[in-house]
Amino acid sequence: MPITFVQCAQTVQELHGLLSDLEQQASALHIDRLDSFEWHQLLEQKLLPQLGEDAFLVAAVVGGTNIGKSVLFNHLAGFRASATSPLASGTKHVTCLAPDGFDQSQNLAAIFPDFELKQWSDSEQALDESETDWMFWRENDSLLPNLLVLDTPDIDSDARVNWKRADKIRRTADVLIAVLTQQKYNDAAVKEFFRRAAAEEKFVLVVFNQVHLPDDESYWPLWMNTFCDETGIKPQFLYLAPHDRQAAESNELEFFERCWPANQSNTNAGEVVGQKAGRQLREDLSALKFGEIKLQTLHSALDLIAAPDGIPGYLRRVKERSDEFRSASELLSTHKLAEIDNWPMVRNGLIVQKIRNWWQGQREGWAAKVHNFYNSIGSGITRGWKLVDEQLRGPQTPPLEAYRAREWEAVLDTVDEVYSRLNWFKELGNPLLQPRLEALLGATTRQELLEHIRRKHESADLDRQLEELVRAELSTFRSESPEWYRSLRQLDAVAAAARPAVSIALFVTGFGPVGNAVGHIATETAVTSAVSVAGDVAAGGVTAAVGETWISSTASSGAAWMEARFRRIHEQFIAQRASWLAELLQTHLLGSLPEELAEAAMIPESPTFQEIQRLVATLTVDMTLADKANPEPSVGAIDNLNETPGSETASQPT
Amino acid sequence: MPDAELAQLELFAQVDELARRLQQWSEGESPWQPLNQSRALVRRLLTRLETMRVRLEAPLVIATFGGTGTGKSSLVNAIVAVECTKSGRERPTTTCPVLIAHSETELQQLNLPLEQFEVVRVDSSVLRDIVILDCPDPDTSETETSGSNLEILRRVLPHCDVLLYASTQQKYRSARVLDELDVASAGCRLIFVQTHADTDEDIRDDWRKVLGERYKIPDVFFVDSVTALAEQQSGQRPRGDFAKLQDLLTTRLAAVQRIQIRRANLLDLTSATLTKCRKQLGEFDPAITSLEETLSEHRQKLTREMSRELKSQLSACSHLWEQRILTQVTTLWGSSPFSALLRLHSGLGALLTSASLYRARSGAQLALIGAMQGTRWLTARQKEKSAEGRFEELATLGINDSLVREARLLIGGHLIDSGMDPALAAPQPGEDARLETARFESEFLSNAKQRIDDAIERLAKRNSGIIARLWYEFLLLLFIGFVLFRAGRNFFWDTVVDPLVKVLPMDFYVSAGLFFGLWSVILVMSFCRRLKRGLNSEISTMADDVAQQKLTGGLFPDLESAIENVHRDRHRLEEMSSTCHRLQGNVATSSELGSPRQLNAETVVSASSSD
Repeated sequence: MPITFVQCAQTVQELHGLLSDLEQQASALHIDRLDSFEWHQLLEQKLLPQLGEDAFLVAAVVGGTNIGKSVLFNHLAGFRASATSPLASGTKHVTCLAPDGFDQSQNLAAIFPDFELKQWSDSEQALDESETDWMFWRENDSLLPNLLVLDTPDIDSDARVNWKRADKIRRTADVLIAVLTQQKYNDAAVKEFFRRAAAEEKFVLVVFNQVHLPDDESYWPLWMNTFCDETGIKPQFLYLAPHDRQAAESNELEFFERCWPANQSNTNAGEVVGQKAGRQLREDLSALKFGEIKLQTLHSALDLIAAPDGIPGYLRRVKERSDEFRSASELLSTHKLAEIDNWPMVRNGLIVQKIRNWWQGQREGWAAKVHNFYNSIGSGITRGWKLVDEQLRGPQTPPLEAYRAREWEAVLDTVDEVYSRLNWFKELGNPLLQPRLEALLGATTRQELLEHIRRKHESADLDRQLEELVRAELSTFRSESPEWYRSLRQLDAVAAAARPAVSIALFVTGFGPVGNAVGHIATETAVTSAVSVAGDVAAGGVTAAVGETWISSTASSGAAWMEARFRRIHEQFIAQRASWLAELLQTHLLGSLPEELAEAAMIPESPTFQEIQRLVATLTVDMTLADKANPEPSVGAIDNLNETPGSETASQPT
Repeated sequence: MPDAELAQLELFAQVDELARRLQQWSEGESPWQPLNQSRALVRRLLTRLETMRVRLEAPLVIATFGGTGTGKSSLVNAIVAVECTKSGRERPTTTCPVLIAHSETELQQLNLPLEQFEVVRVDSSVLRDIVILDCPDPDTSETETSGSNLEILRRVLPHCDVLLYASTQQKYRSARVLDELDVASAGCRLIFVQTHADTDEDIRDDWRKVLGERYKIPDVFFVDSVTALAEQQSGQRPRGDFAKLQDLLTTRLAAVQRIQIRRANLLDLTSATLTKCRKQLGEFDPAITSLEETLSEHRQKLTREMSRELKSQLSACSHLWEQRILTQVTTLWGSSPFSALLRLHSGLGALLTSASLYRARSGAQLALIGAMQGTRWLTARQKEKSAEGRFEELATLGINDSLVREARLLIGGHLIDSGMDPALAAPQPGEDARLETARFESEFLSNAKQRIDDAIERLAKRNSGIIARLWYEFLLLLFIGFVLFRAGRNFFWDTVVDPLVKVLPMDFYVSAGLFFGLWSVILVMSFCRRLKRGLNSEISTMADDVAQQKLTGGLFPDLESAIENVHRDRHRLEEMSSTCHRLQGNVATSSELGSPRQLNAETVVSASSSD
């Protein structure tokens, strides 16, 4: 085995491992499984078991159904090794003849990794209908050492599992003994099979079976021409077998060698080259230059996996797919998922109330007592007013609950918008996002999401949230402004004016500017609800307690500053609520989709991907070196099995 | 006309009727996407049926079918006993379809693309009622490229009525040929022939096994075409299976059988297509069902919510009830002292009511106030609201529209699941979602209004029976009588008998008036109380009744009518399908012809697309 191939063996092994790693990583990309690629199968079935091993030759009898493959195989074996039947698609499993002691020197299971090996016991075994890919093997003393001869199932019947088994053997084989007939030489399935074999540069012997001699003597060159033109096969030997069922059954079929290509040496294509007896076929097989053929098939297999539609093609596909993911990810992250410009606001009075509560907690000593006295008067008046109001207008819902109801509407608005936006994404027709989005848009997801948000929304403690916010705000406010208590009194005047308009946008990745209050426009001031009336009354009580001096002392600029403060509380609260919704939507609607997309987009940057790229490059370089060292191996030129052109590789100038 | 023939004609009329119904069904655009797909499938079927119908009476077209080298051309030559199409040993031999017809057969009526064929006229008795089309093979072309045998074959086969499927020992399990047969056999009868009897072994039993699952195989002929041709040319009569085959071709495919065979083919195609459509649409059944469930669930939820609200509002405003019932009672009673008193009371009440109209918070209260005024006010208010654009709550019943919007969100999901147009749940263009709620609600209320009127009438009748009336009249008159008695006795007797006694002073009348006022207030109040007896139970039964009622308009009228259409179309499809099956049973063809057991519709369509 040449040194280059030994090096390649290592590279190929590494490649194989890395490729399955990459496949795992790239599972999100939904690329066809590696197994479905011809080059990968070649890698697994031909290169992995055979690179770096000592040369042995795998010769397989292949062809369409019911054209005498097993007859020919039995002829090669010298006995009825595989059952023959007049019915089509009889042979379902592979039969393998190995030279004596082959099992000691070589591991058959490693050579045929995709088959279950079983000792041959009976020629009928191969007819067994079974899901398992069996290979029945036996040793045969009449074979040369290092030669395996195989019988294969058909390549064109309606039992497609047969095709698969034959394909596996085709990839492993070095020599194909192609059985053709005049009915099948131009069949599409047959041509497809042999076109692949030609690409893999197999060494091909053609046996034209069921020929009517001498009538067909003038036809077979035409048939062969068509076959070779269509498939690209260059058969090294050609035999004709007569249509003689009797002889075939009793294993006495004769094979007549013909020269091919006919027109090179012979002017008359039909001229008989020699009437050789049947045994000759087997001897011809034994006389093949094993080493050469082996090198040729391995070389071409390596070529195929490094060819543009081999591994590089796969990498390209991975890259393309991950680019698609990237664009899908970008699509999601650059477009707003929802824009909310009417998130409801807490009534001013409610905030004022919270501020007051906080403030009360700040007072100490007799001042607190005085305040409490006046406040209870204030609240007494308020209660009376409330009772009257209730009588007049029916019971009112508590303001925070009213806010909750309005907020629920905003939530619905948002969810509605998110869904129509997702629908829009779907209609953009990104093939990756479409199925995911369709699932998201379905009724079950919607119901779940809505239920979930509703539960969370109903259980949210708005009161506490608001209180905490006010406390935090006011604490900083107090530390910033020593005259805070004064400004506080302006609250009610300010409360009427402060109505920030807030618009909120949701993005998929990150929140974008979610919760950033955009636009500060004070709107209509006419908010005189029962609550704000109550606030006014209470404020009156406070005013009475502190006296009236402060009113004159406050400047108008102070009021504006206060107003900004007050608006900030509004904004912050809204922002808090909106980002709460955004977070819910993010986790419960989209889940890990954005991350998955981003991850899939990064695959071509992964070390595995890069390493495979590098290995393929070295492989190509090695192959060119080997080509230069051993220019175009011509089969039959060298007889030596173990000749190593390694020294030449070493001395090759770069 | 003989009965059998009449029955035959009737059958054919039914087949035509089926085709007409198919035509009708396949027209139009539905918001349900799967239905449109099925309709497209049926439309394609119809174009193929049309070509079949045109040549209903023309000679049957027998096409050869089979892998290359199976001796199709040799078989044709043997059948007509003349070497008319080239048979050979090079594959493929036949690339251009050869049409072999009797010189008297008019080819125009076959409606075939004659320019694509090579036409050969042979005056053989076999060809009296049929034409034979020798087709290229399906298995030498790897892909269906233009000009390839496969492409030619696929173009030609939909024009055929009977397939003469030839195969050999080598080829009978060839996957490509079997796959192609799947497509080719759509809408065809089949004849199976194993050729090469001279060299090959008889594999007919195994072949039958291979095909048996998908095809009805009455007979498989095992023939040697070459010998048969030679024998006939040397003047001998054909023997064995070949003679049987020839007999089948001449007798079973004779003119009388034509229409029947074609109808059977037509029904096969139709049945396959309809089965496919049913399957296609059936997949969406669960989605449609859950859509309907969600729809009715939300409708119920909304109605329930509204009736709950209705109940609470109606029970909240008892004075309005009182007013209405009082008015009702006074109209019932006509004039009497107590009735006059009540009228006075209700007159004052009406004044209050008209004031309260401006304060009425809800449609329910409006319904109570009265239909006329209320409706006018409600419409005015709705108009005002739609103009207003955004408003916080649709306050007529106090139901906020988030219920409707939740329903819309969920139904939107169901629409996507079931393949319906999502726009069906979207609000009407230009109509605010809230208005939709309002529309729903006003329907709900107009239902309620009638019931309120009924309830008032009932309450009024029940609580103001003649005894009650007499009792109250008596109590009222008792006071008046007492005062009159006192005043009369004083005036007519006491002052006359005892001069010391003075005529009752003014003070007496003032206090009498005062007590009269008090007395009548007590009476009226207790009467009103009595009137309201049973009101609460009346309200709750009414609210429950209204909730039970199915509102005609529904929440999403477009969607609901779309669903109705879906059901109708599905139903019609089922009907046509069962008709088709029944007819299939009735149109019996000769038992010596094979046919596919179950066509799959993809093959029907792929075949018809190449028409």
